[in-house]
Amino acid sequence: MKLVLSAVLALSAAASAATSLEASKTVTITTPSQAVAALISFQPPKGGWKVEEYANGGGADPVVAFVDGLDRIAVRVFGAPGSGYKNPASFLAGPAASTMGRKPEAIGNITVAGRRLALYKHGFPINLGDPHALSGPTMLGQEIFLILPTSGRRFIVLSYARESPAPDLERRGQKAWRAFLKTVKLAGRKT
Amino acid sequence: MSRRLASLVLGSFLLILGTFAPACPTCALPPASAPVSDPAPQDAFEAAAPGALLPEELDWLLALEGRRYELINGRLSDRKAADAAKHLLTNFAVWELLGRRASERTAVLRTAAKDGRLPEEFHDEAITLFWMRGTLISPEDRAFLREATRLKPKLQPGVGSFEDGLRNPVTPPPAGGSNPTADPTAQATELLRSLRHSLSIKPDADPRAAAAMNEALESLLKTPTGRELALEFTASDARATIEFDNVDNSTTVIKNGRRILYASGGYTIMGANPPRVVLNRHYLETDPDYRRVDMTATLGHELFGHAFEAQRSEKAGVPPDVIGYYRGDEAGAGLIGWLVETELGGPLDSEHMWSYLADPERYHNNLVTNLPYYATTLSLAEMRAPLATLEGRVDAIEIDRKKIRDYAVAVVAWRSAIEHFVTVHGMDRGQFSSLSEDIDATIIWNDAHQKNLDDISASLLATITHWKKPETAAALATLAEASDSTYMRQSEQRLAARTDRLRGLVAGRAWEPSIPPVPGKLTWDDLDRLMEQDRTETDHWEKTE
Repeated sequence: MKLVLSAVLALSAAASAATSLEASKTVTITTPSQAVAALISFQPPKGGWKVEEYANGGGADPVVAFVDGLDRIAVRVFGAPGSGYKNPASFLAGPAASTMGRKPEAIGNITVAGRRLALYKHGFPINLGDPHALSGPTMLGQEIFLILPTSGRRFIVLSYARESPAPDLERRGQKAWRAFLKTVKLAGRKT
Repeated sequence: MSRRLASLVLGSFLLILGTFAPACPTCALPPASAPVSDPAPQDAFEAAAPGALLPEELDWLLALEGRRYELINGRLSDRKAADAAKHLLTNFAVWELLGRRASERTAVLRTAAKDGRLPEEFHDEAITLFWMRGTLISPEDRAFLREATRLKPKLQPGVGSFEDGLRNPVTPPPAGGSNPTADPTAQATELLRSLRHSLSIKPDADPRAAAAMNEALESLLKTPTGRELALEFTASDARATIEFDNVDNSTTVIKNGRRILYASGGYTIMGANPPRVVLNRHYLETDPDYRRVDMTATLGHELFGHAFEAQRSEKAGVPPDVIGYYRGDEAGAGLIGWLVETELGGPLDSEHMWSYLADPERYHNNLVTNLPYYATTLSLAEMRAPLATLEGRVDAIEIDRKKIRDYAVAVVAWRSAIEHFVTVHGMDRGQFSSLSEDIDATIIWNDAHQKNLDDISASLLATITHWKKPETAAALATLAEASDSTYMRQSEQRLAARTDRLRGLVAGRAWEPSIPPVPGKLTWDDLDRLMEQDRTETDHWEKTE
């Protein structure tokens, strides 16, 4: 399902003026996918993954995601004025990187866009029940992510999530994620 | 008769006697493999039930009084039982012992505390004792554990201290002396009086109701969020009625020895004049410590999140019907409840809260297939194209239906992997019990959610059909117009401010489970590693690329 909140982005773009895109010196109304494309290029995963795009932080934090069943590969950009996370350290300490407040686990390193970057893993709650009532046992999906700095204040979080406590026996999503990472390039950089 | 012959005869006699003695029927039952809900005091204690005992508690019990107790088939047997037929410890007997241990450990923690604060290395034990054994120890010990581990929330910009919030900024305190009108206690009393004056609290026949309501109101005003909103509520002449009443499909359950609500905490009838806040009557049956936090958070959610907002929006010229479709209404009330709960030092056990903080837009998107109500709630942008938005969600329901089925299939597929490690590799089935419980819960979730999606689909389609009628065009135009209103813009600002405040309050804290995971059981990561190793080192599985 594609969510395009360009109107929301427009409202925030009017408020944040020329800082909405570091590569642009003029106020530009952009969609989340345009805001992401200004910083990073990549090939979408093959095989019918659906695209979602939206923004948090009143438009400051654009997201482009590819979804196939339980698997989700996402590109999130942070660090602009109004962002929920000013820098990578605040992201790593915040709810989006944690397992409901517990710090993410460092699980190794990986080379992406010519940079050697740390890989992290954390859990996130899935299958939420009625918000007003006590739900059944907590079930956690798993997300692996890395943080790719850009040349400016903004930084990009690339992630693969599986909305299931049980791993994928066939590893289909993980294979798509590894293939996706090989296509990632920072805008304006040779890697 | 020689001594040796006598002992042989005696032994034979006892053997024969034992043969005719009544057997222990409970001992022959397999050990419990699931948590025991609402255990009867006189029943045998199921020590093997998940979550029944912490490992350190079992070690302590088995070492007591020169190893007086032993484990027999998942139950505790007393070697010195006066009546052999009653050798298994009952729930009551074990609770007494666990209470004794918890009191002893609390005494140790008291000696370790300095200025009422515990060193970091004792925090986990204190939290475990409070939440798991709090009902078995004295109120004084419970109060110590609660205070020793409660984090003091940082002051947030714009909220300030209690004194800062209430002192009149245009009359600074006189130099050299304190402002007599700034007495915090007097101001707290005055604020409570003003709030109560704005409320009509319905008398209740249950003698516990008045005290519970008073405690909730007082607790609400002990929180910065509650005080701030109470000031706004009273200053704007808002009104509400509050009462206890029955809630559909409500019940309570025992969790770790404490009775808690297993239902919605309440609701608000926003169309009533004034709005009517209903708190679930079952709260009166629950554990006092749980009620003090949870019911207060529910009161904040309903009174300030819904009853107050209904009046605020109406004064601003936004019709109540519009608010029912605005997704920020429920999000705002949710944030107030989470803030109050956090500021009261409650456990951060809401997955919804953590999900919202991690990615608010994705949280709203996921709510669309959570309940019928959410399927028709809209963002400001969506309020400008409501019919098209809802029509787009019809597909989302079918996508979710398939996704949940795929999820169940994918999780259940691991049963064969577990079976393989038990039957071929000889691993203990008990090690996989937590994973098996997850698989069982997944099947139940899938069945329940498929039915939920039927209800959501019916509600969504009904709304779409209604909105396609020519007579609703004006209502849809009102919805679009309201999306640009000052009220809505300010509401979004309040959401952002409360989200930032909550993010700051939970920094450094983590989710605290209502039921902790059972130590010693394999996790999904463990099983995944076993699988990888088996795939690499054996030919038990078809090779994957």
